[in-house]
Amino acid sequence: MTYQSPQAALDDADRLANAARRSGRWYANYLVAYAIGTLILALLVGAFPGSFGAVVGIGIWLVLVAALTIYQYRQRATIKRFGALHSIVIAVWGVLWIITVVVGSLYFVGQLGWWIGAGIATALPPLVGAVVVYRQTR
Amino acid sequence: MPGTEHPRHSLDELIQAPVRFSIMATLSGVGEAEFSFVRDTVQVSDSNLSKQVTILENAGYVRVRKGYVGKRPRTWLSLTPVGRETFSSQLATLQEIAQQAAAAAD
Repeated sequence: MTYQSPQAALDDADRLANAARRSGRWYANYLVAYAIGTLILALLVGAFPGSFGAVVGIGIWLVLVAALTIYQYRQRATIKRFGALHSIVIAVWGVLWIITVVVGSLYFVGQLGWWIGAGIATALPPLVGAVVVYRQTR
Repeated sequence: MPGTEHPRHSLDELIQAPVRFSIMATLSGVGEAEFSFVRDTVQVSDSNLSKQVTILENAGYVRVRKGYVGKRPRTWLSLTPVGRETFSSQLATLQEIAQQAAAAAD
């Protein structure tokens, strides 16, 4: 295989890089699922104060995390700067989730409005991450 | 062009070879890719890819990481910072040559 011209090589490089780039899009789906799971968890904890909401919520969360881990291991390529983006998303999500649970458990028990608002806020980091990935893999 | 060196002289011969060029192009679009993904995208055999990757790894352009998913061994490939910079520079040079060729044809 040889290239007929420099332009042919450039076109091929573009085609291969784009195909490879698109293969990293799975991570956007991963983050959207993570955001939806976050919102469901917050709603369950908020709607059912006490152990029921927490137990069911954490059960669903563990299943989701296990499914996402399997999904991740099945992928064959990652986006550029995957490690940095994932670390930032999970770190910001973690801080927001701790605030949601601690403040909600102390001051907003049974007040669904807090849990909906805080759930949406906590879901934002993975959603923003998903937008970044979609744009990078277009 | 007396007194000016043709841009082709700054092309890196190691990645001028089409298969190696294609491997670099594929890896330029990702952070890391599995060996089988690169093989399927570039459409080469396992042995050819392995041989070309070794050459690129020895040149410092490609990093090879071996690991396991469950009990299955997997090999991951990525461009090193030097590899990324070299490939970028190769594309810029090719662009320059293509533009000169287009200008000469006008």
